[in-house]
Amino acid sequence: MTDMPAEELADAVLLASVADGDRNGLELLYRRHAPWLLLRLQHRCADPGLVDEVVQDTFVAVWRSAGRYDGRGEVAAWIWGIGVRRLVDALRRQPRRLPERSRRQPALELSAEERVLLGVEYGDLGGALDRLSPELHAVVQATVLDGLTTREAARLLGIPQGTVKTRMMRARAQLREELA
Amino acid sequence: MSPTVVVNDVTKRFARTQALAGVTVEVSAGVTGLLGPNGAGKTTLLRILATVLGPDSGSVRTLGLDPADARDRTRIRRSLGYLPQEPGFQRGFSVFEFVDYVAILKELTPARQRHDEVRRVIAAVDLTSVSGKRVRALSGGMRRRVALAAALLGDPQLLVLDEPTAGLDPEQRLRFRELVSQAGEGRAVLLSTHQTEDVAALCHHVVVLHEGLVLFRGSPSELAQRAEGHVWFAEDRDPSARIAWRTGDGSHRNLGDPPAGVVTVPPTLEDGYLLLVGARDEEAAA
Amino acid sequence: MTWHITPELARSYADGSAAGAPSSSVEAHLLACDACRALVASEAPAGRLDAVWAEIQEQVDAPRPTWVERLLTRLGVSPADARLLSAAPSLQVSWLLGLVAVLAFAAAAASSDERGLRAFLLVAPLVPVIAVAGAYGRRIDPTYEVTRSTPYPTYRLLLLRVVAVLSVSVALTAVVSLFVGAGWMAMAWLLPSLAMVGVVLVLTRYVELPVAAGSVVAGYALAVTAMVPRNEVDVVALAESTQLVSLSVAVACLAVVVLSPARRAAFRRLP
Repeated sequence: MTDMPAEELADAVLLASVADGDRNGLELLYRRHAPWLLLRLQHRCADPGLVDEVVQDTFVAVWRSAGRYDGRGEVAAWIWGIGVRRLVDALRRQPRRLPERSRRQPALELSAEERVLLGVEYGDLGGALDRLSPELHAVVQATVLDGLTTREAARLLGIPQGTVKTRMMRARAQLREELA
Repeated sequence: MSPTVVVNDVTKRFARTQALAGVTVEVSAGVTGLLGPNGAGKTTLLRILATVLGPDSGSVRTLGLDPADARDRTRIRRSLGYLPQEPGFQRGFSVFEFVDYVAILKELTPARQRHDEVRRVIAAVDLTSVSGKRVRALSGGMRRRVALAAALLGDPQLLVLDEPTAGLDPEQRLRFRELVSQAGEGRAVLLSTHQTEDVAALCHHVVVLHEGLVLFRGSPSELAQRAEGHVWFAEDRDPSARIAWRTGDGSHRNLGDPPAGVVTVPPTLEDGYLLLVGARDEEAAA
Repeated sequence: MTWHITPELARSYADGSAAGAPSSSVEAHLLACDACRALVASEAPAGRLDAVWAEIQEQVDAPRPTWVERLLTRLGVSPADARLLSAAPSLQVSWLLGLVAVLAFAAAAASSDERGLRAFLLVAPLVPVIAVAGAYGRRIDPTYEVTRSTPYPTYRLLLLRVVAVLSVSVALTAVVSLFVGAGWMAMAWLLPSLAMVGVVLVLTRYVELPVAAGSVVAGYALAVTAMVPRNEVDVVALAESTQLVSLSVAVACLAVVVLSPARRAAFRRLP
């Protein structure tokens, strides 16, 4: 482990060193993952102050619970799991401000490139997802893409759990229809 | 540029031992080595310069101030960093907590700036990766580095290091020398050692102390020069040599007055030091 | 991986202009691709990220305050002083446990009979003195050497530590006194103990703390062994008579310590 320069170490290895109390490892993990985490959180909550706080709490939690990463799945996914849950908790305590986009109309024109991308990542599903209305898309994103439970999704979006379930049913129905 | 420390004819006695018997020394910017055998009085002199002790007689002037005056003494301490021979650490303190503790004693407040300074010195000695670990759980070499970090707090103008490389393995000693060499830039460092390699590698100025007296002060090459014409190699230990030892390749290095016709070799710092101290021992025995 | 995020997509994702599905694609992809993470990172707000890192460092590094520190800060002591105080060796758990053990033993002796009460009253005054002996000093404090080379006033450190240690040990002993159950008599140890601590403090101006404390404890032990064998000694009367003397001694010592200058004539005399 000491022969490789630290910047090239794999995430799992870095995380193990953080579990051992290595502050340098924490900084490296931060430089790698905090930027995308911040952006991804910002796509779910428009309050920059809150987002910054959540990023901070997330990495302090990473420092404290690095030993609990069980090695399954990507470290990035593990970090996202911590981050999104912190966001849910933070939003519970504060009035929510959803990002502008979710209130916009769905994109009218996809570029050719974006169409290709959609095809690769989600296949036909990608296009169908995009045609969902903003509320349905938000619910699908929260539960399916972000990995939240119904209750957490409800907290994140500021709607009752029952509404989450209903919208999921509608989204599923619409997707099934589109893909059939 | 006036010297950082001027010590004039300082004496110090403990019970039955005369630790310092009239020492006069000047320390300027850069690294000064204090060389001498155990019991030479090095630690006592360093403790006096670190304002931990006061001399029995003689005068000390540090940074233009008088350590015998209480107010001056506090001002000196604000620009002083001290690494004692046996650095001690509170039980249960982590590296960060210990250095932070010393930072409080050095009156570095408020907390945020103090913590930044603690991080700076910990990074300077390359211990960031273990800053959360308990000091007592670290190896001897790393503990020394923690103590060095604490001495570097507040960017002192005078650094007093008591045998900083004692007990370190060669690799650790090399790393420590690098740290000390970096620390010596822009300030005065006084370090004591009985390893001549440390002095040869680090110091631009050497003081040899023996039984409480200064035997030599000058540059390392001047000290080596003292043994010019007094060092030669032979198959065995030469009876006319004052000091001799077996070298790695099987021959013997002899120090003293060479017999006629023998080819002498260029002297090292160690030769100069041994000859000087050896001569003094002989005088004392006579 | 067959495709990666282009710089344009990275930019439009970062500024929020990318549509829903491409954004989700980006997010899914970033979970597994380090190179694209770096690309997206260059579009993220660097200033905010640096500021957040500074906060994280502070939270991760800042030493967690011990129970002693929290108590002291609540009492109005500055956090820095609280940190110095809590590092006093005799405030540490092992010492405290030892003191509690001594007291518990004495209390057990006291609650059994009149002789026991005498035993308690004889032992209890020593507890704060012993606690104070462990507050500061070369043999006790591992960082003593370095501490002496710092600008923080040594005498102030000593006094602060003694006050903190004294408060804790007096409180502990007082709590144990409640279990002795002899009414106010159980607190008769307080003034003699304060008097002894006062004498120790005055002596520390001339000798080291352990020596000062040791001599006071020894002196006390001598006085006690001289008087105790005489069974006719009435504990109550003895305790009452010593109260006034102890009070005067304690006040006198306090005056000496507080009113006379802490400056020493020459720092040569420092222990």
